[in-house]
Amino acid sequence: MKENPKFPINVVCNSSIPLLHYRGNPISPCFPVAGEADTRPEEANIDTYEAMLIVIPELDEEQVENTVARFRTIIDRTGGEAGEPNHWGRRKLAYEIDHRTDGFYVVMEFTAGERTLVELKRILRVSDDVLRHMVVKLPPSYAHKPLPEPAEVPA
Amino acid sequence: MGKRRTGPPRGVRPTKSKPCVFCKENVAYVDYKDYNVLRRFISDRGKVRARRVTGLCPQHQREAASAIKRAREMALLPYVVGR
Repeated sequence: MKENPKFPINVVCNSSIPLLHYRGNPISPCFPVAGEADTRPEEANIDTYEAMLIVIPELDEEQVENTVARFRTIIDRTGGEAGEPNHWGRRKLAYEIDHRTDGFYVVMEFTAGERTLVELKRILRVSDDVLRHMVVKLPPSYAHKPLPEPAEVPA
Repeated sequence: MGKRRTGPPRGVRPTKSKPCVFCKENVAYVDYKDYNVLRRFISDRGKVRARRVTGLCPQHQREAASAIKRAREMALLPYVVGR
């Protein structure tokens, strides 16, 4: 899927097929790639992800931090770069999960290496300390913005 | 050619166009973590409100709906209220 002479670059903007590659990552001419370097720390073409975890309420603050630190080392070891975790604190859940009505919410941003996402998701799924987790890819313009509100319901 | 038009149907109010709240604030990404903002777009039963109620533009309605679904998954918003 490199430059194809039969497939000129300046057409087909509604196609989802990446038309050329930049540093191994497919880019499409429809998406501006240059000019976003100012919102990113270093390289312009690294995706930022965001993970949100709900840690079980039986732990205390320190154990929660240890749990999160474990996931941060996984991110770092697999070639990503973990940002500072944002602890929302203990919050009431909107509905019961596994007979629990509250949990510790932790949100953190990170960049992923090749194996990071697979490995992180696998370990999150099997770890008993985490009730729920979600990993979301952030749009390039949104990454590294101040995160909204911390705990609102200190249940 | 064909049918005779008799003006607009009765009982239709003239529409006042009101810009979508996300467009007005230049929101590029509807964040699922802003559950307090998303609350405005669900009914008191917890259902996603229709576009004619929320007044969002098609793009932002779609993004808001998926943000609500993400927030539900993380127990920030309820799936059902009052069961």
